[in-house]
Amino acid sequence: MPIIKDGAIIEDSWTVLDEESDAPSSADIIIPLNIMLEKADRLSNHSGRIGLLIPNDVAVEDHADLIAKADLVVLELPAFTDGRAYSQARALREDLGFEKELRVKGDVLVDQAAYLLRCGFDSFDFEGEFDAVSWEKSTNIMTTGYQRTYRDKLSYRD
Amino acid sequence: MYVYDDFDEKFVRERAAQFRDQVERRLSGQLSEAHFRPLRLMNGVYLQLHAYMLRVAVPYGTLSSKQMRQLAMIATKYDKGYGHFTTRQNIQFNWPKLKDLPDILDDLADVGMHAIQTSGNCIRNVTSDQWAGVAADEVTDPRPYAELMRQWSSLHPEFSYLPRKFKIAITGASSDRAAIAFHDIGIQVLKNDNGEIGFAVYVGGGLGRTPMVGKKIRDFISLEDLLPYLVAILRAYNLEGRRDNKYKARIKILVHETGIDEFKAKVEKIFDGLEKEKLRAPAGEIERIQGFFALPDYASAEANPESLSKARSENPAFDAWVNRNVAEHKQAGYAIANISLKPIAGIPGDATSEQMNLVADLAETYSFSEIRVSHEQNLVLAHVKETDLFELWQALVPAGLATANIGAITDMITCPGLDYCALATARSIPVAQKISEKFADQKRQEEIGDLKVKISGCINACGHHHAGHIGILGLNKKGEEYYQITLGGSGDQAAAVGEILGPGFSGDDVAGAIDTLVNRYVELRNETSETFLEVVKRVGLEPFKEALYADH
Ligand code: HEM
Ligand code: SF4
Repeated sequence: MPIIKDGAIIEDSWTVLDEESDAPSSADIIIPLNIMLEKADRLSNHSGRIGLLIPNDVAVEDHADLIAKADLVVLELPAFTDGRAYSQARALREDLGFEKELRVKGDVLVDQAAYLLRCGFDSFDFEGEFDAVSWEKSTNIMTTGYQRTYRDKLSYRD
Repeated sequence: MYVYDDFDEKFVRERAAQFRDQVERRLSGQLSEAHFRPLRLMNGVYLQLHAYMLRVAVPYGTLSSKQMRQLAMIATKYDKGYGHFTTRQNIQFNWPKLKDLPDILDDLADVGMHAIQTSGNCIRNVTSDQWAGVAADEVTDPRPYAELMRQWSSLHPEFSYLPRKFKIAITGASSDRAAIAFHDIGIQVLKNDNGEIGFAVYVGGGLGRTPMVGKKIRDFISLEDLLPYLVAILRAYNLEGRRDNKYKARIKILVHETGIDEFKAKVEKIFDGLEKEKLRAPAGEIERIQGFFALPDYASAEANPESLSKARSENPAFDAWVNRNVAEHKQAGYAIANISLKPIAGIPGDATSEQMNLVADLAETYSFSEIRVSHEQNLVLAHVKETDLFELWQALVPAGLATANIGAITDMITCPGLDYCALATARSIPVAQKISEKFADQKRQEEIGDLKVKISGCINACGHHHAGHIGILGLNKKGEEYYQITLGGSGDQAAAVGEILGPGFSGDDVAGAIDTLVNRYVELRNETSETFLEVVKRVGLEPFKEALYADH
């Protein structure tokens, strides 16, 4: 799947660690939260960057310590109608102060990209084809909004 | 009333352009119906039985004459010359074409209107008391706070993919005319001992297949914390509301299954952790909005004028209209004139383009160009001089808008039912029409007094039947429509869900059954001032069951 950032496909260094295998110690690895909770100590001499994959039924506040140490957090959108990740993202950004890369993975519709950006996501790992033109259009059509969110570029009476 | 500034206008124009793009992609096949569906729903576009339907937001039920004329224009140009006012204070057009919808949204934007979030699993149009600002029993006008919530909830980036739809209602009065107990969030405006405005907040009310009365979650939340508190409730719901079963996805189920105490604890925990400053309205914004809701420049007007009593004594029909449709205003010499959209045997809530234009003109002449839509599907001119009432009535009569039945048995809430709705199990409009005919006699209606009949064409309860003093629910058994009757529901400050009386009735027999119930009530009441609902509460269902089923 392509990774989209700033409206374009990027080369991506992250690989997801699965249940059993151990990645080379210098790789950038994304670790699902449950594995992280079990194996945290075995990662102490890992020299690559560590990302955290958090399922959407998890309260992010409960894992503030792990999140603070992560270089990347990946949240999931199992169906485009399932909006839990939007709330998780805002809690991460605005309440826990997470500043590193926040990625969403799953069934992202181009028409949702603008909301996801406003909730604090910076990169997208989605199923299906990426069309840069409609992406560009859909993420720029609204320049106004009635909420102030993390790094929001929209104007709100200002 | 609120008037868009450049920012608001830019926002709705951008939104209309966005929807135009989405419709074009749908028409060209680039977007599948599955992907288009949530997008069109968030713009008020439903697919009904015969056509698309567009639901236009009338925020907290307040409209200007100019906006009403534009609605009339839309009904004429893109529809069949009429619109339908709904229980959520909105207006629906039943026959627009998909390709015309973007143009309609542009026409709406021209007068500061939109269809944003009138459907879909998002925060819906915020509703309020149709007498807001003028009711004698009000702490303060709730509409500035409703407008604040309208803005805050519009295209909310976090709350546009909720488990299910989300409805907020607010009242500032002690008599609840906005049915706040039957909303996902119900808000009552209060003043504390220091004279500061704040809000009691209720959560988890709703109708549908599992009706529930909302539970109090906060006694008093300050004005500055209103939006952060709403964020906390919605975040708790967005994260934990059920997504496995759409019939259990409303917040009422979450609150019910979690228990209000535990749910409140969750909300308060989220609230405590919020970075609140950014979630509050920008400085000065509330005052800016409040400025729009200043009372109009009332002239000094004579209270109880001689001319009014004279006109009443000379015209029994006018007298009946004043009795039923005119309510007390907080300004001496002024009155609230309610315009019934429930003509005898008509379609409840429908208005033709001509009627809309007339009401717009009358509002301009008599009521500071302002019109209200009530959740009971009627219109209101909220600031009419008592000395103008007779002239106003005379103008309403020839247009079929002077029916004297507000709050009476023929003032029924009725959902579109099987005549329009794809989810319906039975028709509701023809049943309402039959009941209306049966009780057409003005004198009999007066003898019966206040009685709220509410009809839904299926278990989704769009017609509020659970909250009807008499509720009627249309169902279907083996291809036959039949109707279940409930008694004792109420949508006001003493909110209650009606109880089922017994076996249902066929469409032909419903009106007769209602007649039997009403006759029994008249026999049972201690004095004429004892209302139907009071009698049901006093004697219970038994006497009514007996009357209905004894000889069956
Ligand atoms: C195409 C037509 C319509 C469809 C498909 C539709 C669909 C639904 C559904 C599925 C529910 C149940 C929601 C739930 O319990 O989770 C519902 C409830 C409701 N609808 Fe409609 N509806 C339609 C028209 C209307 C109209 C015309 C009105 C206003 C007159 C309306 C107002 C309401 C209200 C007040 C409720 C119950 C309150 C609550 O949300 O609990 N609906 N509708
Ligand atoms: S109650 Fe049922 S029939 Fe009536 S409008 Fe709602 S969904 Fe349709």
